[in-house]
Amino acid sequence: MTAPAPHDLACTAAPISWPRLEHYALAPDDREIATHLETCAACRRCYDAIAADRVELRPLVAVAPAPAESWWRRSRVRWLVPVLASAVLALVLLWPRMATPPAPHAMTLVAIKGVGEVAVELVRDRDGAIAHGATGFRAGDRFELVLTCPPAATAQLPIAVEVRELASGRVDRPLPATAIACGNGVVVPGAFALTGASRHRVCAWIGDATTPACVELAPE
Amino acid sequence: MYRTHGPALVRKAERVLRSRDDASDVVHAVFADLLPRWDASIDLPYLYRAVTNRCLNLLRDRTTRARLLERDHASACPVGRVALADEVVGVGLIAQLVDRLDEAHQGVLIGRFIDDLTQDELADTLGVSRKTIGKRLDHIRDEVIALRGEGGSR
Repeated sequence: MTAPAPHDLACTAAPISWPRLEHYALAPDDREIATHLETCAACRRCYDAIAADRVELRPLVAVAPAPAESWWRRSRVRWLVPVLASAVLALVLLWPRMATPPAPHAMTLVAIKGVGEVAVELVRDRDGAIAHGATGFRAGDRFELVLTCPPAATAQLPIAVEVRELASGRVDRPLPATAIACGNGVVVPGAFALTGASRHRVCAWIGDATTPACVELAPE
Repeated sequence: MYRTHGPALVRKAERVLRSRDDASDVVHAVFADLLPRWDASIDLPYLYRAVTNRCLNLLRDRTTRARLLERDHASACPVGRVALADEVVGVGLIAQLVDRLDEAHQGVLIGRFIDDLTQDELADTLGVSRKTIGKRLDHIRDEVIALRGEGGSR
């Protein structure tokens, strides 16, 4: 576009705005503008500049519009959707546990002088499924004995495990006597399995305790 | 729309920036941004405003501003039929004012002194009263006078 109007070329009245001149250049149907341009050299020069100008537009590549967003994506509360979904899922998963009392968790407490309370439980491994506080057994199950006692109570706590089949009275000592350091959920080294179709009692003789901590297991 | 009104928008951007290349880039960018979300609300006044805003954003960028002023130094002799405080508004003055005026006043500055809109047309375009336009013009003149004062005192 050539310089259309030096600033010393004044409009005879109110200048016709550039947008109106542009519109008039596309559709010269405004008599007011036509009349003005006949008498105003400044505006006429601007109009002529528009009419003579050739603009080479940059190619505009049409891109496929993005898929329309659904209302909930545009919504300010869309972040609530995953939160609510998670909450509902958690409720569904936890409801059975909340609605029914938990299965008895077989844990035996035994008081030991100089140590305090020691909690004993059996952990069952059934084809990879781990159950704490197990009270039943099947062929192929493996059991570990887990103790929890105050960590600073004593350096090492002697322990011996004895398994009695109640029906026959047969006693077995599947694990070698050992000593453990007190702590939270300390696993007594070794694992054992139970056989037969009658109840078993697993007892742990711990330290100086005069009575063992025992857990009974029923066949399933 | 691009083919029909693109040239007018390029000329408008060129009046602000005094550079045909930059003006073409501005208009192309406006359409490229709008194309994916084009709807009926995008009319010619909207496009004029969008081009104005993009031009002013360019002038806010110091690097671009310096390039435009340096390359088109001769065009410091501006184009226009409406003077502001006895000065025709060109890219140099816009560049100085863009940091001193808020968006509402920048719209009036460009509309009145670049597009040569009357005060009534401005009021209609911007959706404010003619009195408001008058106040904004007064403020713009005050800023120009202040600019001259700062320039003279250096």
